[in-house]
Amino acid sequence: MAEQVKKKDLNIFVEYLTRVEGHGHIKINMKDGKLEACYLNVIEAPRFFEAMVRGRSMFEVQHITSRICGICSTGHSLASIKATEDAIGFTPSVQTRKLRKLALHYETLDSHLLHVLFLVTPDVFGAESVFPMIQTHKDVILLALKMKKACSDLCDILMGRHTHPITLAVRGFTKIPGKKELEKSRELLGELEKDLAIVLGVVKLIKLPEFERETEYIALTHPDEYAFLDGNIASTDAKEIAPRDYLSFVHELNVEHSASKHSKNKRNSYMTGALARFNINHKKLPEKLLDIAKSLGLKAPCYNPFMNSIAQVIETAYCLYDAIEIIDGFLKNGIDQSEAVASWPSSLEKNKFTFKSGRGVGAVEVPRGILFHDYTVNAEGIIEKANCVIPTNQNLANIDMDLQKMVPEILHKTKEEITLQAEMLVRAYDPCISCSCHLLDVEFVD
Amino acid sequence: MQTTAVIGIGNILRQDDGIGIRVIEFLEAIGIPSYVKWIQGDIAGLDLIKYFEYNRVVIVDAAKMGVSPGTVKIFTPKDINSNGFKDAVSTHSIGLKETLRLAGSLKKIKNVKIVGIEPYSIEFGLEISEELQEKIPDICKQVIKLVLPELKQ
Repeated sequence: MAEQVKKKDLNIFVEYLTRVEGHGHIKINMKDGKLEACYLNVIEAPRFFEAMVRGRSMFEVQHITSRICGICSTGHSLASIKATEDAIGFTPSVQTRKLRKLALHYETLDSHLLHVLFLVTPDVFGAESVFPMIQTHKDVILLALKMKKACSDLCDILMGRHTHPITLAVRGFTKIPGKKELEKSRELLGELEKDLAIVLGVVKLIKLPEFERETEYIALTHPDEYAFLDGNIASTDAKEIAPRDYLSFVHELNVEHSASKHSKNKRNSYMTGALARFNINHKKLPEKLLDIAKSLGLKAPCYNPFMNSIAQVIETAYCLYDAIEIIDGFLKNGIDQSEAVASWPSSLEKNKFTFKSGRGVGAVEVPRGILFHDYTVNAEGIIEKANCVIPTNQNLANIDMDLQKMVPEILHKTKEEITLQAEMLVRAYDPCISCSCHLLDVEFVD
Repeated sequence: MQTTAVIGIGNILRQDDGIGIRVIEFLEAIGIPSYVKWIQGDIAGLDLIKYFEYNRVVIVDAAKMGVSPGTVKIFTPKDINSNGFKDAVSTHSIGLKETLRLAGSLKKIKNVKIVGIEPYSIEFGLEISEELQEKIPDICKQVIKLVLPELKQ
């Protein structure tokens, strides 16, 4: 019973946060009932890639920026391409826009499914990670891998390969899928649709902690659709703004305890990602998805950050159904192969856009939230200055503030339970440390 | 028919971490033999599992093996001490080690060999270190040796 008494002293230090890319730690320190430290620290790689793109043509940088992150490579490519198109005043065709939406949908599907099935379910089934689940819930693991392979194959078809897209280019696609490829894509999406029903069954078992903290939510918004690719930037606390004005929302600051910059706008923190998108854009979702959301306990506005995972499930369904609609449209109405573009613009295209010195901003919703690429180019199309703001950095302050509100509310729990819940909270945001190294660390069997 | 997959792994933004990709670029340019599918795997993790269905798989990757930089070692997933595994995976990139472990547990590994290359530098940069750059042809020869025996079949 002693554990039921609210603690006055608490020291938690999770040195290596499992199931989160890269190294990070959670520190919670309470003395005499006073929270002295309570935060997440992640080590962000210096923004070296901004230096790497400097001096390069804006027509090639998407191949560099796509390497910033292994799972959001399409998002980084598209943010990069959109920044360039903004700089040269180019508007992509309707078909290109549809294909780009498909590309982003595939990436979001892939990422969300992996997050929910590989990271969230272990907490639900009381497993330390997916590995023990191979014994206890092999069906879930096999389902996750099957769906992941389908997403990977879809990306291969549309973007040449999965991890780092090669067909995405400024102005359009270097290769347009043909009829057979569209039919194969439709077949894969049909399989995913069937499997989604099983995922929803698994997700229904998820019991997330009850915790609420209202914050500012920021996401792209679009008058006609649930925004991923295009739109203005909306906030629950302020009037929407154009992507070019993103710095009037994203105020970055250094904090003592974190190696990464934090961001804030109207309050001391804001949230970006699936839950923010859901809170801002839920009215753009089809009724049947809102019903599923409701059945999973998600209703806008939702202030429980743990529900980010449920919002991801709803977005998974949205991306899947929208992808099917886009593919069905192409199968019915045909696809224009003549729209394929070369990687580099030819002299014949000169009248389609102008090279002039200036600035271009690309904003895209990637699985973890809103992503910005901001380039200043010269009259030759060479990048002179670049800025890239990733979603995880924007969420860091919000994670800290969630932890600082949550920990005092659960002091009746055991230290182990508090630790687990703090880890679960951080995992709900699925933080990413970009630009990490991918060395194989080998210790040989003796 | 392509029966062998040779996959290069690594982040080309981190100098020698990208050696696997550079080796594939080199070999792909040569373009032989036709039964080999050359794959630039970059920083893929779990997505590699689908390639394990090939009769023969060779993974080329920068590896921290505790040996002098530039050393090349060829080993199998079974040679890796799994006691050293952390149950730490991310959605971002469940690394090669976790992928191998998962695939092994699910009996999805048939014939996988790893060509590990100890890096000189993994600082930020698109260029491979000069020292390792010089070794690329040698590394390629070792990779080719691994895939050549199939020619006799």
